[in-house]
Amino acid sequence: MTPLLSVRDLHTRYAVGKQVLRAVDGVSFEVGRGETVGLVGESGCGKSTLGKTVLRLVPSAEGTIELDGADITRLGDRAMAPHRRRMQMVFQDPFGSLNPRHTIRALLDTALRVHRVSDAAERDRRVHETIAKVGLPVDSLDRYPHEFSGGQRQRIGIARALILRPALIVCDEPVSALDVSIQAQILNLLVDLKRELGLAYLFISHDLGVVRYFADRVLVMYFGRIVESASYATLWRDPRHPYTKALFAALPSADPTHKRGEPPIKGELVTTEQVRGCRFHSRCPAATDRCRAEEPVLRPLGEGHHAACHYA
Amino acid sequence: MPLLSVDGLSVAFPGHAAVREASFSLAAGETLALVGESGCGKSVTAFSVMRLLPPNARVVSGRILLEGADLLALSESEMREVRGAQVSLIQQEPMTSLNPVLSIGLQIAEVIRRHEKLSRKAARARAVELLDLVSIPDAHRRIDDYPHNLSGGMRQRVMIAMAVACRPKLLIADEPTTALDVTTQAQVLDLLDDLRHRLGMAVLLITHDLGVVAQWADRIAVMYAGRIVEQAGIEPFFAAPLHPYSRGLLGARVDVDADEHYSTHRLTEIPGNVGSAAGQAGCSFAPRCPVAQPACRQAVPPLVGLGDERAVACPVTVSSHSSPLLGGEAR
Repeated sequence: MTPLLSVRDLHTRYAVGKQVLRAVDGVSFEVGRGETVGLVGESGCGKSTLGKTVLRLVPSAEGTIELDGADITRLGDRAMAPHRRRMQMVFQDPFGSLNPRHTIRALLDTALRVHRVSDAAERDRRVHETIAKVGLPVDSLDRYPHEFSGGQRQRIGIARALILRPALIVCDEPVSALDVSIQAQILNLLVDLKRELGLAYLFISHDLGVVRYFADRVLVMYFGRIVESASYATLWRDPRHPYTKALFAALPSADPTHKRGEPPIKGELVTTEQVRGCRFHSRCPAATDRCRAEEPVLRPLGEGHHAACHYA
Repeated sequence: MPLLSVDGLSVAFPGHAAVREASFSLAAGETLALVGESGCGKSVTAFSVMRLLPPNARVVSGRILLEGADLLALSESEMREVRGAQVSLIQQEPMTSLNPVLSIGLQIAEVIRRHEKLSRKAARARAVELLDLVSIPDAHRRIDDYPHNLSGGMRQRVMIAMAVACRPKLLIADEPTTALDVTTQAQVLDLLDDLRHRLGMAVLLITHDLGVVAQWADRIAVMYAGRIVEQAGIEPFFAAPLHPYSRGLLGARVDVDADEHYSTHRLTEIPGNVGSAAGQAGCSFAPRCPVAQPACRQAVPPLVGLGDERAVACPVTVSSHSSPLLGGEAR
């Protein structure tokens, strides 16, 4: 069976002055039907750009994107429209992504009209059905975005993505701007929707703790590349890339008797430098001359586990 | 005498009470974490100590004693001698706190020369030492860099260098690592912890992250809707949080130590949101509280001491607590 989403050797480049920033630099992965794939990495690693490129919101430079086996990489707007309905996005800041002058009813109705659901009664039925699915009362429909709290707005953002009945939702840091008590509500809602509707998620986050909880499979991204991929359980039990290990080690434990060690890596991700060899070598505690000269490729370690490290 | 003692502080904005009768104290060299969700009043509390509240905010009541002297009674010019020299502040986003058109060396030297009589040259030498102190490599070279030349973590180190330049007794760190990546967060918090030991400085750490609290604080004060609802030492708190809100916060968090996955474990939600109690009497948490009693909606519960530096503002918890902390006779 073809995977729901299949991305092959994808590249996205931005011009920064006279330089070229390779935000996504040769990434391949798949998302199965009903599967949640977590994409984790630090700011500037290219994870959001990757999500937007997959949705065709940002143009790709090279590579292919297939949805349900159909190559959508270079489709024009008209040919793309039916595919857009199948993949939707939930943003970090729901307030910034909701038109403040439209009621929630208008926001949801617009999404349906853009996608040519022409029967007004059918649209109304789906608006009501969707608002109930995300756990908001029906009277929310005639209110405006500013009347809602952060968590409620994120429910509205999810409703807007959901109303087109997509197969895949790209969630870009959907809970990062929310308080802990509200994060749990939204994560639980996303789990419920996935179970009920068979949704697949590409879940983008900087928080490895949340990703590991929420994803079936995890991709770790560093400087435009996937450096490790594995099932959540494998990654938790046996992280192989030094960067993944460092991310785990840096997660602060809520147990004060669990004493933290020295931070395993120093420095920060710098995306403006050209690097020879492994992109992580300048921060890696175990880097050798080989790492400084030769870039490691993502190689299989068995059971669907891959890592891009000479010594993994 | 504690270094800092906040006593019955209430701060109001027009139509909104941001901080309500908050009392806590901080000993010299201690790290106290002030924890809560957005809008709970933790930052307003910190800004009150700095006397940097926005013009439409008003201190309704209370005292803020630094080594016994009430900061709220000082004149503005007296307060300027306190800021930076005795109490300093670092904030979440260093880029907006730094001046983009001045080199970092000049900005650090400016702080030093504001409080100490030093030549430009001597102040510059001190600035290099300070950059060294906060582990910025090649300090003598980086001192002429501008903020935009630096990464987020390095900028926060510069802010810390400025904050500790005059060896303050108290550093207020308002979400100091929230804008930073997790690997950088650990480096910056380790640096703060190291400096407080080396400089004998107390830290008031404002954060929403309980993991940060567990790893880097000595004591915790939990705020909800403007009030402190629980205070405790770190180990007793994480072993057994008492206030229903504290318990909810820990339950809602994805536990990085446990083998939790969505397929087998559902996160514990705190239903509703902070606005749920708007306009109601009694405990602000009552509408979201799993153990609320009718009495909770009548009167605001006071913070009751349970001994061992532990206090909780929840009558249900206090009465069900069989007082082992008091060495009590309850059986």
